[in-house]
Amino acid sequence: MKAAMTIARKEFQAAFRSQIFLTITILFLGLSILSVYIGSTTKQAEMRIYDETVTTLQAQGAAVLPAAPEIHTLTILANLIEYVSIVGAILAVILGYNTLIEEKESGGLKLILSRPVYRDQLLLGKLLGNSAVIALLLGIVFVFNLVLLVLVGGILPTMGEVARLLAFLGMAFSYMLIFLSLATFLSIHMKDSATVFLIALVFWTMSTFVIPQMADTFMVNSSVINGISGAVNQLPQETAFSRAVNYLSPTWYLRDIGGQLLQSAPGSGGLSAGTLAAHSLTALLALLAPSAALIAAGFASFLRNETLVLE
Amino acid sequence: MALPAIETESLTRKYGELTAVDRLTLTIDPGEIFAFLGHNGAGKTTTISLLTTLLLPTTGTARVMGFDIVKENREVRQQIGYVPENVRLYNHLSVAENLRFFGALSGVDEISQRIDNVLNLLGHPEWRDLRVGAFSKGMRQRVGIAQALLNYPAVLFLDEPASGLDPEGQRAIGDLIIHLNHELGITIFMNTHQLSEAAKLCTSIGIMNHGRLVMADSLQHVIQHFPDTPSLEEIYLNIERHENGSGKLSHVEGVLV
Repeated sequence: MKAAMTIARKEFQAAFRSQIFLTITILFLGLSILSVYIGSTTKQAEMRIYDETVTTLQAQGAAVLPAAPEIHTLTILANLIEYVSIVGAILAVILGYNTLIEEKESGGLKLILSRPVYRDQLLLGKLLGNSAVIALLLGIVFVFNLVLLVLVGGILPTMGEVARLLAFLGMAFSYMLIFLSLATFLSIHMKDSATVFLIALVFWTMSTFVIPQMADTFMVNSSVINGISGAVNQLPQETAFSRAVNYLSPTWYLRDIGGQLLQSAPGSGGLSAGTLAAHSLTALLALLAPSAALIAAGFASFLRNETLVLE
Repeated sequence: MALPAIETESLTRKYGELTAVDRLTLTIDPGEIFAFLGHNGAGKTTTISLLTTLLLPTTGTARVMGFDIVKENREVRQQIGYVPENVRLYNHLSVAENLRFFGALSGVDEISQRIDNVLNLLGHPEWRDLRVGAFSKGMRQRVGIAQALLNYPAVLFLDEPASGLDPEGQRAIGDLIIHLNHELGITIFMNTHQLSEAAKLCTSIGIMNHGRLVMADSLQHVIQHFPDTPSLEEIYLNIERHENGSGKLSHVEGVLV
């Protein structure tokens, strides 16, 4: 374990000295700040429009006034879901894609493995180090967002809301771990870091865009008549098959549970703690399963792969 | 009688149909500087990979400082230092950070003291806080040797230590190898193409050809066996020609095939 921790420490150090990684990290944190700002101003605009509408209706002598829009604190942070699903995934790929290839190319792998270090310790160290980097980043995002909620949004979140945000960041960690373990797994088998990066990006594109779009094509449309204008609107509704297709996409899981935890999904604000915990557990297992499979396959092949020290 | 530093018995390594190392039987005594000669693809690097426990043999056995390379690979790793060809280390880390990392992996105690010691041995204590990324190839090679010395190894494996270095760099590496051997008693096993380097540094040589050891003896004996051949380079070329079927050397003592 000591050797694994030494390797983890080195990986951690290396990440924060990589210019590409630091650039993406700054982008990620910058978007996180922007997310609070956009969310906060959007909600303030919604309230302003509502107030103006009420004032107008009252001036016209309306007896029935529309209900105030339901605004939950965490919806201000809802853009985080998209930022994690896009920038977070790419960041995890960047952390993982070069992790072994760089060692192979530099001869570092031979140096490490000629020490009293076993291959499983080496791989474990790399995964631990890179996971710690992701955890630290999400920790910074958490602190940033809480502070910005108070400073920009003027909102002091409740303990329940803090717990929801923490739970979402736990989901984000599990989601990013999928891309880290995928890139690490690929880097065991590939010689070229560009190929690893491309394959990981294809997987991410499938998960983020292709599968959810495919699922959309299996939805059914219900016709809804607009009570005011009388126009007929098409409202897509989920089917068992479209939902089954979505189950193949880790990004869909993140968006689904993220919407519930950050209260941006319809009706999620009123979910009981028990229901939310049950949904979160299901999503967590779904998000952890691909990483577990990839890490297990990675260990199995890394322990057997002799070509690693021949290149 | 002292235990051999390295002892192999019919050590064989195959990659599919290709036999990279073919029944290698070799003994190297402690305190020797052994130069392993041979053309590209002769099996020299595979032999080092086997002896440093990076690869498993297909058949045969080998022991380093008395430890079996398969059954006691952890003990072997504690006894050796290894410098691969063109070692690049971690560019983003300083010399001390690189050494600290490899020292920690070897379980070295009092690592700061060891780092000072090996940098002093190199004659460059001022390199401690410099980034490796800014170093020339020769400087990196010396830091590579420093990392291999952190655990005070009994046997040091060097794969083409002077490859691609300018004459000054070659001389610095050569002087360091002699110092490590003469002053610290470290057994050196080095692969090299540079016959002049081998002639200057080594006490014994082995010549590999297509995976087979065709000659192994002390440098002194080799030169005695070829009284009419002026240099190690000529001796090596004679043996290569013999291996290709155009020479007759079977009468010469020390030639194994």
